[in-house]
Amino acid sequence: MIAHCYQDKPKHLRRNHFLQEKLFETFMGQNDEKIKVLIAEDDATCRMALEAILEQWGYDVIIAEDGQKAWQELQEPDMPRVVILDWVMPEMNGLELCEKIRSQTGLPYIYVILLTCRKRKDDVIKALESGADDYILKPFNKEDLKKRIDQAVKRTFTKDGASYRTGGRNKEEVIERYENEMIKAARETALRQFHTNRITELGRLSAGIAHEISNPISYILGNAQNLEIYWQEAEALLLRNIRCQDMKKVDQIREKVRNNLESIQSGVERIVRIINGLKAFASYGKDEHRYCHINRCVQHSLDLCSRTIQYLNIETRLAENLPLVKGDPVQIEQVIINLIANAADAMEKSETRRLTIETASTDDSVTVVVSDTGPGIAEADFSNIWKPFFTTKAVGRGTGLGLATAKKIMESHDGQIDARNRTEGGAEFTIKFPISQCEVAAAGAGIYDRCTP
Amino acid sequence: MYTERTSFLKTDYDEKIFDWADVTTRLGDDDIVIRIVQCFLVDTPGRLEQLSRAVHDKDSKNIETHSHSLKGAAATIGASALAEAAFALESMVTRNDFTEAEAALGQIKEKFEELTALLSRPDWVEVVKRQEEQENSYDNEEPRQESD
Repeated sequence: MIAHCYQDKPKHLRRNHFLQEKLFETFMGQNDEKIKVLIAEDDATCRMALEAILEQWGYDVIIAEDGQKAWQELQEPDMPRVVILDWVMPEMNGLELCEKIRSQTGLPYIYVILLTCRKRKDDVIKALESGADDYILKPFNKEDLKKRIDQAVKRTFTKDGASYRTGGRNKEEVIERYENEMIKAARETALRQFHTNRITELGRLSAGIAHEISNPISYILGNAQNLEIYWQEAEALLLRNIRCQDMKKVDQIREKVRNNLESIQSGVERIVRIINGLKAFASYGKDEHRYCHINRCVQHSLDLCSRTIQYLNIETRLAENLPLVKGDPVQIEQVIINLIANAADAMEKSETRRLTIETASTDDSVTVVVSDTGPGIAEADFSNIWKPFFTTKAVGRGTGLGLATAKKIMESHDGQIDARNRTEGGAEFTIKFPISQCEVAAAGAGIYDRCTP
Repeated sequence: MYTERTSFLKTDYDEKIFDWADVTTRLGDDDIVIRIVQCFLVDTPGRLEQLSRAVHDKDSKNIETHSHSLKGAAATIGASALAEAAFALESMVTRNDFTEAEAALGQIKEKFEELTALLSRPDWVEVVKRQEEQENSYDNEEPRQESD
C-alpha cells in the first residue's frame, strides 16, 4: 500500500515516504538492508538488553565494547547513521566520542544518543552541549527507547531531518535547535513556577485539611486503643474455653488481629506525622515573637526528641551567656527538632552515630549548629533539600517537609539556615538568628530575662 | 501498603533484591529479561573482581567506572538493592571519601550473593513471580480482613 503510493508521487515528495517504505519493506521482509544502529556500551548486560530489543524491532545492530571500537566502526564506508553511546566507557567515553564525531567533517550526519544515569541531571546538559542529539536515561524502558529511536530514524532518513544529513551545520539549523532548547527551558521554568504556586496554594489548603482530619483521626486512634484492650479481654476468655483442635486456628487469628491492630496504629501515626508536618508548614510566622533563650530551646527540643535520639551519642556544647533571640520558641524548637530528626535518620545505617549540637554567638548573631556522622548530603541534592516534598528517605519514611518548614520558619525570623558537608564526614546544619545591638545590651543587663517563660 | 510490613523480597528499605514487575514492564518481554539476567550473572563476577582490586588499590577512577557500570547493569535487570549498593560506593568515591569504601564493597558483594542465590535457581522465574503475587495479595488482603 505504502509502496504503491510512493510510485504515484512526484519525485520531490518521494523522500517523505522513505522512512515508511523502509520500515514497511523491513517488516515485509522485502529488504535485506535493515537500518543500522551502533551500540557502544562496555557493560554486557545493558548492551544485551539494548541489542535484544532493537533486533526485535528489525534493526541491524552493531556492537562496540568501548569508545575506540565504536570510532573504528564509524570509519567503515557504510557506517551506521544512528549511534547509542554509553557515557562511561573505557578507552574513550561517550562524551569524547560524541565530540570526535562532531568534529569530523565530510561525512553524512550521524545521529547520536547518549546513555546516561538518572541520578545526574546536569549530565544531560553536558551531553547536549557535546553535540549529542538526544539522551536516554538508565535504566531505560522500552517505550522511551522506541520514541527516541523512531525520532532518530526519522531525523536521519527523511526530509524532516534534511539539514541533519548535510553533515555541516547551517545557520538555520543552529537557530532552530537553539529555539527548541529555549522553548524547552521556558516550559521547564513555567512548570516550576506552576509548582511553586501550587505549593503556596497547598499551604493555605493544608491548614484547613489538617484541622478537618485531626478530628476523625482521634476517633480511629482512640477506638483502635479500645479495641486492643477489649481484644485482650476476649483473648483471655477465648483461651480459657478453647478446644484443643481449634488451637491452631485460634492462634492464627490472634496473630492476624494483632498485626491488623498494629497496622492501624502505625498507619494512623503516620497520618498524624504528616498532618503535623503540614500544619507546621502552613502556619509559619503567625505567632507572636518574644525573647527566648536559645539554649533552653535546644534543651527542650532534645527532651521532645528523646525517643528519636535514644540510640545516638549526644554531645551538646552550649555557650554560656548567650544573647536572647527574638522569635517564637515553639517554632524555633520545631526547627531544631526537624534538624535532629533529620540527623537521626541520616545516621540510621552509620556505625558511629554522634549528634552534636553547639550554640555560639558573635557580635550580631546567635547560631545553633547541628551536625551528624551520617553519609552527608549528595552534591546533586544540595539545591533540592529546601524544597517541599523533596526527600531522600525511603518511600513512606519522610514527609519531605522537615527542611522546607525549617527554612520558612528561619525566614520568618529574619534568620538563615545553611547546610554543608563536614570535611571529616557527615552533614552540618547551621541556623543563625540576628540580634540587634540594643538587644545585646539589654540581654546583658538581664532586662529580658523576665520575658522568657 | 504499610511500610512497617516489609516482606520477603525486600531488604532494609524499599529496595528489592530483584524487582520482576519493574524489569518486565520496562523491557516488556520475559524472554529478554531471562536472557539479560543470564548475561548479568556471567558478566558480573569478573566486574566485581576488578572492582575489589580497584578498592584495594584505592584507584578512584576505576572504582568509579566499575561501580557506575555495575549500578547501570543492576538497575537494568531490576536488581534495585544491588544498584543502590553500587551507587553508594560510586557517590562515596565521587566525594573522594574512601573511609567506608571497603564496607560499601562488602555491601555490594553481599547483595550480589543474595541475588545470585535467587537467580541461579533453575526455577527462579516461577519463584519471583510467585513472590510478587503473594506480595500483591498480601496488600489486597488486609483491608478485607479489617472490614469483617
